[in-house]
Amino acid sequence: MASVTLSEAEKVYIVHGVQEDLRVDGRGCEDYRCVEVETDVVSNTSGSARVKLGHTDILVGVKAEMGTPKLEKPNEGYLEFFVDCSASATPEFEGRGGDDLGTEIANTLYRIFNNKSSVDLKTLCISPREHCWVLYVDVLTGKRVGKVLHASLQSVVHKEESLGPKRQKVGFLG
Amino acid sequence: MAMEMRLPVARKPLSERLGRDTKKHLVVPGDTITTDTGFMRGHGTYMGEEKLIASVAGSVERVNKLICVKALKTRYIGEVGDIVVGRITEVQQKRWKVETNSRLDSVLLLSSMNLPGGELRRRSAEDELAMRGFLQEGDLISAEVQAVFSDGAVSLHTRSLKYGKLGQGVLVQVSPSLVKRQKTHFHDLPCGASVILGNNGFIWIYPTPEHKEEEAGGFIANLEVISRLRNCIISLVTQRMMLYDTSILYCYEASLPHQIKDILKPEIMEEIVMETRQRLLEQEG
Repeated sequence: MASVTLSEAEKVYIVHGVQEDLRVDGRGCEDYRCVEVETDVVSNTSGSARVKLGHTDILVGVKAEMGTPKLEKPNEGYLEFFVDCSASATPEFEGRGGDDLGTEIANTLYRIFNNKSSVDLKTLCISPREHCWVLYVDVLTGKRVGKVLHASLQSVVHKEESLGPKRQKVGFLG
Repeated sequence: MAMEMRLPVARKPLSERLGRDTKKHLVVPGDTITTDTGFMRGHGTYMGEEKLIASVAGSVERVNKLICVKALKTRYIGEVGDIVVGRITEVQQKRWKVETNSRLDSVLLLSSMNLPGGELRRRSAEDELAMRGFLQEGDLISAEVQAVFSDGAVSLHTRSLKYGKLGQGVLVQVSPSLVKRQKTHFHDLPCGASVILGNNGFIWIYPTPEHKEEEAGGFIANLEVISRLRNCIISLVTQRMMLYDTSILYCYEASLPHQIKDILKPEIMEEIVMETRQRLLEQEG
């Protein structure tokens, strides 16, 4: 993620503050910054969301398409994630620089959504073994990439909620 | 873990909120400022097709016959005598490279640095080898601009006891155009913290040195004061107010009824800065 250089004295100051449950900006250790959420930002997707958390700015789009279920899970649909850490976030992501971070985040998202309590994949099934819904989730990072994982999680959940009535309501992931 | 989510809201333009009559003449690069040829060109303008055209985005300032455009967002442009706060990026032979939010890294020569003990002597080879012992990469210093090279790079010096390496505290980075030029940039605020307003936009907030003796009780209060000051400065910057000791102090006092972490919420930020603005206007008038 974004790297910051600090002097030793600054680090000591921050650590002292954290020991007293006070961050540099006055928040407690478990307090979040303000999150700004906007849904339906991309017109040609089934659902989309834009989440701003501090300096991080994430855009998530979900497209629902018909596909065949996976052999080992014939009664369920599935999700496909793609995370693009673009060069507009920081210059380090120029060219292939952002690919590693992108794949890491995508893999984490796969693992997180791979259980029954996040998205009930059975609702994505149309006819067993033949047709199912495949949700393609694309995450685009703009501006600085601090809490990408967090923000993208929230985006994904929001766009799930902004999809049409055929989608099931999803529990909120913190 | 409670999270606060909000929906984006269109921002109201500043002049509407203040009810100001005089509007600043804002220009973007390529805008014609005037077709009158009687003016002298200042910074941020150029002559083209017998018209004065702006080359930066900012507000037009006119002093008698001189027209210049003051850019809103700019890198720091060094001038001799400015106080700056900088971060060491490299340790080279006989000098340090300092990052000061300008176009080129500034330079701090070994000969411009005060030796511990205050001795005045020729810097030897041992001094060169011990450079990393004085200042390492990542350290923060306060310094004064000694000279400006022809390419715009700035040469710093710390030849006074008030300059030098900075200890514990918080750094806030703002745009250099928001720091008001004053006689002194080192301020001891009555709330228990001190602040160094670097001309380059780096603002250093630290606990006032006398308080260090009563470490135990005063320490947490100090942390809170410094966090509050930091949030106040950020709210002043977001509302594009000039930063100087009075404005920071008034903003601090206006923020006391709120919790520190609430100051960063947009509505509370607006409220506090509005109050500060009114107090400052009252004080002037």
